[in-house]
Amino acid sequence: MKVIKTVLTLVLCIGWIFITNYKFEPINSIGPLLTYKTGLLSIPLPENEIKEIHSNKHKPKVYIDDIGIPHIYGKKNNDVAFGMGYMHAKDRYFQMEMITRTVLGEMSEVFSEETVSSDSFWTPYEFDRKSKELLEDYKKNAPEFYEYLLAYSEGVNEYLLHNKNTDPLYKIFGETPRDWKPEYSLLVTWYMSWSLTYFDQHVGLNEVLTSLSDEERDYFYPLHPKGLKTILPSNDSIKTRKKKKYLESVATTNIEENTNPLGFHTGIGSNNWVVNAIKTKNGKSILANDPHLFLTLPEAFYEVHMVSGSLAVYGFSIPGVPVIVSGHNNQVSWGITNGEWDLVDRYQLKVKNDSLYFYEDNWVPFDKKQYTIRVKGKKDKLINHKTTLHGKVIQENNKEYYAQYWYASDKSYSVKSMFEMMQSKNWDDFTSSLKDYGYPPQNFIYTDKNDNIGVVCAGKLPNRDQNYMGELLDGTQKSQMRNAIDTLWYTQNPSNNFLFSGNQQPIQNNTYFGYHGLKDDYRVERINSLLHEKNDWGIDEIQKMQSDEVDLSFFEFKELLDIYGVDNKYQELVNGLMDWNGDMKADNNQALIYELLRRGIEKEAKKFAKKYLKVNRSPSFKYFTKYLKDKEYVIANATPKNEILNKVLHSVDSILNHHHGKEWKKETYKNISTLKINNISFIPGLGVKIEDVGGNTNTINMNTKYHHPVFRAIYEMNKEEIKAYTVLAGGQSGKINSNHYKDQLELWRKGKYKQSQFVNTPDELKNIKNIIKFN
Amino acid sequence: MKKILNYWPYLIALIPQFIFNNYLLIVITTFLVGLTSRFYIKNKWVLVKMFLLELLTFTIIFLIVGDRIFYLDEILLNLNLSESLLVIIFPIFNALNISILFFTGYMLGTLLFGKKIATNTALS
Repeated sequence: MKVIKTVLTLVLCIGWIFITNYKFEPINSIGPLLTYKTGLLSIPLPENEIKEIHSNKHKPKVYIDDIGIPHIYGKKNNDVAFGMGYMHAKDRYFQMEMITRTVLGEMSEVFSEETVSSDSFWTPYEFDRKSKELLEDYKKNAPEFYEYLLAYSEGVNEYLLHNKNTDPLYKIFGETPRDWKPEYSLLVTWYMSWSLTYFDQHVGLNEVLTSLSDEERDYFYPLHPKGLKTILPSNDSIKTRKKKKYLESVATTNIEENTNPLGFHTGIGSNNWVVNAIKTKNGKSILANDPHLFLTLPEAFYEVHMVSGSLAVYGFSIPGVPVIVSGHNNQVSWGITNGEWDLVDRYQLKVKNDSLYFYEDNWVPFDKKQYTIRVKGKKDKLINHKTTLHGKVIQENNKEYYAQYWYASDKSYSVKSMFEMMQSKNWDDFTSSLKDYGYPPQNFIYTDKNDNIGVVCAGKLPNRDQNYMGELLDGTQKSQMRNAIDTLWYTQNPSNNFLFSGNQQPIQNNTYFGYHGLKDDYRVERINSLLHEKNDWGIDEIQKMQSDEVDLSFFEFKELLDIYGVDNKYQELVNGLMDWNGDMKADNNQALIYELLRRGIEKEAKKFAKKYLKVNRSPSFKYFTKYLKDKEYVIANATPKNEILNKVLHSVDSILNHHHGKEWKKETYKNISTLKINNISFIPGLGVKIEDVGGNTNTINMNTKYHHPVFRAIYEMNKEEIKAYTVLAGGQSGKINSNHYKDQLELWRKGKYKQSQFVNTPDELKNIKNIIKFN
Repeated sequence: MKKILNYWPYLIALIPQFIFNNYLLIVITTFLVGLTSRFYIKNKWVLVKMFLLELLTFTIIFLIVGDRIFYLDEILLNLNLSESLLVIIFPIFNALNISILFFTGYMLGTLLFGKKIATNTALS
């Protein structure tokens, strides 16, 4: 009996040991996590200190201020690159490793089966090989830049050498940081290109092009909308495209929806603008930039200040890449927005036996290649990748076969271009540095100490047929394209004294950049009108403009109410809107009502497209309200326009009464505008919920399901000094145990800024909390 | 003196968790200390004694370095749990874990080498 009792006790004990050692992949087991020496308690808190580190080669001095911004001083560029590498690793190594693992298709080694689909997407692009080839290319043809990358990499590894146990996220996943390689800095370009250019709307677009008459197409989905405010000066004189026969359309549903929040979604929403001295009250040109991306903690950018013998630069870098992508040096300042150029071709294939495709009168077998995905705690997965001469094979849910070619998967010299750009002394340097810029295409706004302003739309553009409109290409024919050309579209010192970009089309001509007419341009109109109207801009006003939340689409909706009148039943609902200014503030009742109405119109547009236009792609809000307002233009048998309006009003009235009863007038927009920011690891509980945020998909301060401003920066230029006002959506550090993990979040939410320190010598710096000296 | 001798295996069992970075090593050494202690300690209230000793030790450690995991407070709050749970979770878990590892070794030792199981039970 006693033996049985002992055995039972042992079984229970072994059960405990098993449970405490069991890994709930990808999370580490509970035993090591909670034990002192192996778990979270073993990670010391970052301390304020003066640290001296022996270094044979590079000897920068790093001064870290009370917000966590490193001010790196060194004799040579490579010294500061080393310091930047050290600081990126110190604050953001987990993020850096995750980005590089993503691009290399090695996420499953950390996150197990959850990321196999991501790795299956990335691995066949062979970015490991391409990044090594690119590095070799730099070694031969750009030795100075090659050495700079090496110095950065050495800085990263110098930190990792003595600090493997500083980030709780590594503990949580039961991992240790792996060493950094110089070519990893080049991988980040492809990650950003994926996030900013990997979109493919061709199947839906082809349906629009084939199912609708030219008149209907130009009415609901204009490729060249009249009066479009482009980045560069344009007129509306477009040569008529030749009539052509499109491939038969294929009925599709949602095949182009991106389900990954970190990937591309329409209406990203970045802004940059510049006003010259004539437009400002103190005669100093001002440049503003607020890129929008999917927000995580930490967010995508890292603020840094570097001073060496030939370089003095301040601004925002991407962890893993030793360049400033938005910022200023002591002569010029610059900011970025995404070009949103269409960098994907999609071919329709004719396939038999799931293995042969018809190409130039022959049945050709798919090229097949097998890749191995290593999965943590599980067996390796083998993936079979099929390609054609047109690109990788995709079989959609509708069983149709396509081939897809993504131009940005090629090698590009973007990092080197930005390395040169951040050293520019004037407009000529700036434009020539961007000549080799490839992917992702960006709009670089510019100003300098001499009050010149400019904008450059840089990137590689697919060399497409002049008649191309975004349709599906014929996979049975030889490809006419497959090469991209370096482009550099720019303008300088315009007569209206300002320039801006907000992801709109660079120029209105016969070049196909993408089907920009599919999206609304209310944000672009708002920026343009504000910059146009005011001639006495100051820092305060520019700051307010970055937080502007007026949705111009409201005024088009209001016109609808005027045209059709409102049924008495809904009079109470719209009463408050009659003298409202469209400001989508969080504490506003009208903003809540209007956002529901706007979404209602979009929903009706979707139904209308499916039912009457017989296409899956719905017209944008702008072109659908244009249709609703237009008493002349009718679609046979379509629901009367006033009925559509009443349907939307009825739906919003019901929603408000259902959720809030008679108290709905007391409810505000923050009911639906709340934003949740996840930690980069997406571990539940590590995120932050932000209430009291306004804005929507049409406002300058954008608030959508996916995108928000990741930082806001304003640079004021004059001959004596450059002042910068910045704020990050989060904080400098990616470590959840750091004080700088989210210490700027409240400033960011309120639309407030901190003033940067851009000084020549460390003696002039204030509020320094840490000093790291490499001797 | 005898009493002290009777307690030293417990004290040794506390050490691995503070010196090894490898959890498997902590598991094995604590288990082995338990196994060998079969020959040195009286088999009465072994689990309870180890639990209380570890609870006391870990609570002191937790009070000293507990601020290193301040961020977990917020996770608990975000998950609608009380932040004071941490003060309970860490010491209780460690007390249970180390004492069970030790006790498993001890019981196996008793099963393999012991003859007094019938008269004294460590659980009694």
